[in-house]
Amino acid sequence: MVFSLAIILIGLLAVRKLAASLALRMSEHTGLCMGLLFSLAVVLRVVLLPRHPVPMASGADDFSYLLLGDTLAHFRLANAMHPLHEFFEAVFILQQPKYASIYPLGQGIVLAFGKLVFGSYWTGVLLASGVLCALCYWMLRGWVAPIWALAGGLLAVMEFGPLNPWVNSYWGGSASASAGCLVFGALPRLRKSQRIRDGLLLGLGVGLEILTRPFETVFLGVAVLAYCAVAFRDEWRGFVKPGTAALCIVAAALGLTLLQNKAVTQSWLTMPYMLSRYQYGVPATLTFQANAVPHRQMTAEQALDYQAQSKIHGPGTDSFGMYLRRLAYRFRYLRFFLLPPLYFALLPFARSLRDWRYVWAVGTTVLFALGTNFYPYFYPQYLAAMTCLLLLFSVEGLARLAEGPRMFVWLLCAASFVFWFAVYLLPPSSITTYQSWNYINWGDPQGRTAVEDQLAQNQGQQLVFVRYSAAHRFEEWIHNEADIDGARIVWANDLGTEKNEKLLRYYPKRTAWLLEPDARPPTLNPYASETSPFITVH
Amino acid sequence: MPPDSTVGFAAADWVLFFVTGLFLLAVGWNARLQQSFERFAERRYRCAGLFFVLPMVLRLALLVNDPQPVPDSAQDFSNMLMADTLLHGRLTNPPHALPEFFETQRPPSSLDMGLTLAMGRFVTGEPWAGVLLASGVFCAGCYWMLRGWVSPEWALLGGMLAVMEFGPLCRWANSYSGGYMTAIGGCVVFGALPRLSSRIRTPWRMALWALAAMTPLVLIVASKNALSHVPTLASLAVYRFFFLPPLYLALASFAVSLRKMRMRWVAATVAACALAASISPGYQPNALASLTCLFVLISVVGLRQISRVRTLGGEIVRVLMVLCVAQFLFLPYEPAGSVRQGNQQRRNLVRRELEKINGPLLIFVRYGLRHLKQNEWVWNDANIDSARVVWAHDLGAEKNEELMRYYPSRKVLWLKADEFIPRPVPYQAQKNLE
Repeated sequence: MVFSLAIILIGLLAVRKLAASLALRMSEHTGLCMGLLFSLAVVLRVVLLPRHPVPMASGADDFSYLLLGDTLAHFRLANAMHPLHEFFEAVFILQQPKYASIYPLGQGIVLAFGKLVFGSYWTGVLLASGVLCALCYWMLRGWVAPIWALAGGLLAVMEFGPLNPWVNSYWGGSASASAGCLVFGALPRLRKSQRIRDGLLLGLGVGLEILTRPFETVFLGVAVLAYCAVAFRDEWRGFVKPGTAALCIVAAALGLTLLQNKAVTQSWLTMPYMLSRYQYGVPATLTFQANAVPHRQMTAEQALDYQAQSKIHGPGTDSFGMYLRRLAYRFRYLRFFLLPPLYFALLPFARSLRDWRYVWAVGTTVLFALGTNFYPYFYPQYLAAMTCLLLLFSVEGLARLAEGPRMFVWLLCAASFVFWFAVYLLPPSSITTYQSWNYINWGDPQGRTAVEDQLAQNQGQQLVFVRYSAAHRFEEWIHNEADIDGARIVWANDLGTEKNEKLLRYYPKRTAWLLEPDARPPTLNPYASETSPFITVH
Repeated sequence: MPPDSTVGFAAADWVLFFVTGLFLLAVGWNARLQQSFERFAERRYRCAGLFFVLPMVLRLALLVNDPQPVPDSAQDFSNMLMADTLLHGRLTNPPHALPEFFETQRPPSSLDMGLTLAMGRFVTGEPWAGVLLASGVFCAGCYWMLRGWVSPEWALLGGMLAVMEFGPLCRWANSYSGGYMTAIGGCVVFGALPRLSSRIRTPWRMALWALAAMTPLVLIVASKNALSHVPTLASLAVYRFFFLPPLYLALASFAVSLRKMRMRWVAATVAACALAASISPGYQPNALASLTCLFVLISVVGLRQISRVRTLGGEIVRVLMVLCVAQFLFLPYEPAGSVRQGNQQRRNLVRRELEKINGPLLIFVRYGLRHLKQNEWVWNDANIDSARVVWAHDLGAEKNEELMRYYPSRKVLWLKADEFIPRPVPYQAQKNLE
């Protein structure tokens, strides 16, 4: 590793001056830079495809988001309840009153776009990562000099580009991060010149956040109001028009959310995840709320998920000590947003805090950290909207470093990215075990590829009964398309011979299989009848 | 999921973080510091003193987590026996009455290493002290040798490289197999040559250099199948011992220095000695130990050559040096790290168990079917009969009785040496079980 780092660093040192002068000339051209950053993020991941193909959906979240994408690709917000829905019960998916994902629309729109335009859900994810990198540059242009904005854009490619988990799963993160870019990029522009265009972009950012992470929108809204209160206290009239434009877009996003609520839950004000929490007890409630209690029969898999989430939540409500311990533990997630050399840039950034805008930016980040700390569990996408602010802190800190240290911090970030990119480009190496925060080397620990390949070899429509063993751990296998009956493969819970007969009669032309995912490797055999109980949780 | 560290850093993140820190320190290297460095480099005794003390102090600082090594290989045992024999004022020991219990396949011990260990034990009671002392002498000697070849500041840099490569983390400092004494010999020879040649006339000077290079060539010619060993030279893994990875680049740039006669001689000597060393069947770094200071010289000359590259040279040298320091700091945690090598932990475990038992002991050692011959446990003092612990091969119940009768007052233990966690157990109890 050290030898490779030496080679890369010397290579980068050699091209440093040429690259710097090129970047200086380019950085003024917003469109060109955005195009370059977008392409870079997309092309670099495409280059890795021979070694790391399109990621395979492999968990309840992935499946639920894909169902959402598929539903939207059918130009609907929810699907009709299946007559034999008990076979398709799965985590994070509602069966009644409608068959739908529990998630808000944002990531689904990204996936549906990929499916409709390019025939692949993941293309949407990939393009979203490109958009995020381009928008990071755009956002930074509102805060720092063009050359530093370009530097930030390149850092975005290194951190949130081809090697990032957001690009290598279907959960997303790029959409919410892009929303943050739009909001935090529009605000300084609005302060400078109160243009309606910037108001629309602000609204688009807040709207996108509503559609992707509704809970976090509360903090984003508070931050936007705080900024406006300070920035426009003397000239609030100038903000009326762009503010109105922003509100129109926000209203549209809220309207879309209400429509989804109505379509999925039959109630304007009940969000799909709220109904899921009522029915299945998941997702877990916030830590200041009592644990959710499920109100319907659950499969073994759903029960396991409920138990796991309840355990993480804890039996009671939060105490201040627990809250602080959780916050301290979650400090490690900062690494997701910052490459290790950039930690050295955070110190000089402290000098920027004489400017109220940076105090506000830090305050916003703290508000998000404190707010999302009410989640009993945590994923970096909860803070996705803060992505560009953390980049801003990095580049502002870098700009304040002396030239020598700045050059080396920057070079080491670049060298680190080049090194890991090369590692993934070359034949598999055990060195990947020393890296963190990447899912590109996630592999296929559950053996899903072999099962999918076996099913792909068979002609015609398939019906797969999934039988979990008593020792099953929380790994969802039931995943169906929005149009279950029209799908080539239907994945169903094994409910025992008698009940399974009903589904076999319902799908007389399908070849039936029995999948035992807990075998190592999982086994897929032609279906033979036996029984399997439902688990009831009261 | 984030890695299980408070700041979410995986191993690679820590490396990158500390490398960044080192670079930021290196950036603070200004003209003033450079002048101080050059002034210090001129003071040869202080520099030599520094390089003598530094490897020892650094290794002693590691003792908390990495205690002094225990003999672990057949070569270690052989050298320890030699040291013990010397301390008894002998060069050999009389044969034991029951030698079959103590038979081991051991490489011949080296007198130099025996002397080193004997001196350490004589002065401090610990043979390893001799090894530690030798590490200091070598690093100081390497600096002295370099002073004959390059300018003082480059010699100082070379001394630092010697500490990083052959100091506290080096395999030589963490075993009893030797290496330092031969390397010190190399320092003396290759340091004396340029000094001698500057004081004698040209024809004699050429003869001196030619003679120095002749010895290994004679060895090659003496071997009938020398050329068949050439592929062994391609085993670059051996050379990794002598070069920190970033210095491979310096090695490449050394080629530019071959325009100079002296450097051509260095290259030829290294090639000839390497070929000569490859004649021996076990081609280990120790076989090239006498060339160690030449390898450091090659690194230093290579770095010097890089520093002359216009505009970028200084920065590249700085990058390489910082990465060498990073490699040095992280080496103990490498999978093949030399400080925590081999069976040290298992042997320490057994040693601690034995320390709990009072009186003289006799331990029968039994190996498993998949026993590796390098993993030897039977080793004894020069005077076997008077040693507190006598290690013997388990030759079966009947034969063992013979040795037990020979040592009637010793407590008898039994050790299955190839167990994952070997524990000495009372012999009788084990016998009853079987």
